[in-house]
Amino acid sequence: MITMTHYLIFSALLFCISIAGIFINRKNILLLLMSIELMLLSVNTNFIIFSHFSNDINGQVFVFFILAVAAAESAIGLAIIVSLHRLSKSLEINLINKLRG
Amino acid sequence: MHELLLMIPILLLVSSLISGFSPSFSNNLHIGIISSFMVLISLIISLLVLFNIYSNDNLTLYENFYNWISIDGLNIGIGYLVDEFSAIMLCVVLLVSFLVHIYSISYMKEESDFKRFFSYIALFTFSMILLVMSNNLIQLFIGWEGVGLVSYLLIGFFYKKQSAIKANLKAFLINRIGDMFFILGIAMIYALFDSFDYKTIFLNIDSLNLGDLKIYFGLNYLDLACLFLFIGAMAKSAQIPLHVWLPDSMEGPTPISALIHAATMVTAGIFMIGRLSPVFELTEFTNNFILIIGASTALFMGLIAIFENDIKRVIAYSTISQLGYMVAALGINAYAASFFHLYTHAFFKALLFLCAGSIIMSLHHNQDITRMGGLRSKLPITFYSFVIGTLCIIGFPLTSGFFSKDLILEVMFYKNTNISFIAYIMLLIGAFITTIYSFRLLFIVFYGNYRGDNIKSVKEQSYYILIPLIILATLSIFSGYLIEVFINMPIYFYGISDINYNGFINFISHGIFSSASIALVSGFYVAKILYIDNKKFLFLQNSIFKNLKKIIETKYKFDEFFIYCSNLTKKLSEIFSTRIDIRLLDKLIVNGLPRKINKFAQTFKSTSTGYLYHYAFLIVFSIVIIFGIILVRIL
Repeated sequence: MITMTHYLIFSALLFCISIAGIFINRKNILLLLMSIELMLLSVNTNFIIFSHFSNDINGQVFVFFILAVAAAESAIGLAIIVSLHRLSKSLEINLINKLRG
Repeated sequence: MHELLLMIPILLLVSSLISGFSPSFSNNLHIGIISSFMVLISLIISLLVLFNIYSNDNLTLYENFYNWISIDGLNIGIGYLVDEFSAIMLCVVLLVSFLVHIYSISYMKEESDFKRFFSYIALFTFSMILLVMSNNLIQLFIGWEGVGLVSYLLIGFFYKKQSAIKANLKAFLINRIGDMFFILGIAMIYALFDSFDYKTIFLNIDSLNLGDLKIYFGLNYLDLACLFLFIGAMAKSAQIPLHVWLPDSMEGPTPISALIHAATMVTAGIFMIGRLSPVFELTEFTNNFILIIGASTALFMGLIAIFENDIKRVIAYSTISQLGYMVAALGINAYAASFFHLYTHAFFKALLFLCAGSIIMSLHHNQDITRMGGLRSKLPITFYSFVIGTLCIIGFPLTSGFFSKDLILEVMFYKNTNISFIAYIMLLIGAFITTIYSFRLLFIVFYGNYRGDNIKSVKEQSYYILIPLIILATLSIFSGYLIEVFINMPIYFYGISDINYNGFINFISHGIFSSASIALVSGFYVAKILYIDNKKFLFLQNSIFKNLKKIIETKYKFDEFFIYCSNLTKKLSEIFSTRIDIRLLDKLIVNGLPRKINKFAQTFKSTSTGYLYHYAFLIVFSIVIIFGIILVRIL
């Protein structure tokens, strides 16, 4: 029997993978964006799990909102990446450290 | 009367402006005559005022016609207070100024800056009149500073001469010391009486309880206020140790030495104390201080005059010495006697200086008395005027100096305290010294053989020079006969009942048989033996007297003392500059603090690398820690 705990562990794993993606990935900024999306998805999974197990449809409604926002966000992110690529001709993270003090 | 009185300063100011702003093509002689004429009108007005005051039984003209500054109870007005005291002073100032104006027309005719000179002396007379006529301390102070400024300008009149520039700076700086104390004194008087106005001060002085005053450094408040005022007067009236500027001020043109540095400006200090006599008579300590300063100035500065060789400097030291007499008389509250000496001294000292100017002109600007001699037959009018001036200054019977000096000595003698007795002895020796140096000057300059060169060109100057000499010589002889005016003067006068002034004849006969006459006769013989017969006293040849002479010739090292003091301050300020300013303020605080912050910032700068994953790690890591803490707390 698959209980709620299994689902939650799955979602936590997903979250950890995405964090690891951010930390470990030092090459491509596109991968970074994907990791952030993954992070959002793992949170969404949590919403759905709780909504299913507590018989409340509100959680699933919220997921739609979050997905819409995430789509908009990733659109902006991709736009930034495009203009970044125009500027520096590369997408390497090591080169993008303009915020350094 | 009101309009007439206002005319006096206005005329002088206008005269100053006319000569100052006259176009370059205007004739020097005309400017000089216009200027002199303006002063003459002022003089006539002031004589009218004096006459009016006497005919109306010592009327006091007082008015405060303009409120200059008025802030919450503090009122500074412009006005005048003319009574017998200031009216006589007005006449003296204007008379000497008028004669000096006439004299200068000839004396300065060669100068290209003729108009500037006339502008300055008219401005000087204006400031002096402002000082004398004022009815409050602030107006007095304005006049006081005005005469100081013009004195500075005139000492440096020959501004291309290095020594003149140094001398006027010295005069200005020394006077600043005095002025600082003077303004402190004025402020203290204001704090006590809540007014700058003489009338208010004098009316409130009776209600003053001396016992209630605060005591600072063992002196009560009024003592201290008067002491500060007196230090101001010390600088202006050249008393030890602030006298050092007066001999150097002889760098200015000679008419200026006569007008400013002998007859009028230097007596401003004495005038001020006379004006404030109701306040000064209440202080015991300050009076003793004044007495000591005055008596020692009279004696020690006279001694320097014996060894000077510059004709103007000799007369300058004799001026300081005579001012010492006046100040000493102030010290025993004999204000009228002091003022009487001021009045007679103004005439004979102006006379001596103008004679010196005449000699200097005749000898083509030679001031060294060792290169003069035998001028008696060459410059007869100057010679007789000089003799009259000399007789007056030594107090020869029946000349003006006799009356005034004798009065001071008599009053001093009858004061009968320890300190006044010492002062009396000092003044008596001073009279002896006065006789020696005056006759020395007379003998060296006019007797013996001429020691300079080009004797043929030596001749008397024009009438512009000689007429003032003759007028001043007449005044010097006869001004002393007005002694009763001064004795009856309403300003406070100590000891008037003691000296038994009963009639003119009695005073003269008493004066002739007093100890002052012994000083006079012995002084004359000493001078005759030393400077005409050219003998030397054997008892003066030993080493003690030689050392004494050396000390006197270095002028008691007052100049060195001031230089030492200023070097000391210089060193102190150097220490402050390197230690406090550069090291503490600049290096430690102003530059040091930002440097510390900068270093602190540098170490933290390296923590922000700009890499996204570092920030992300930091965020997640801190969230984990925060949640960890919360969890631990909850569980």
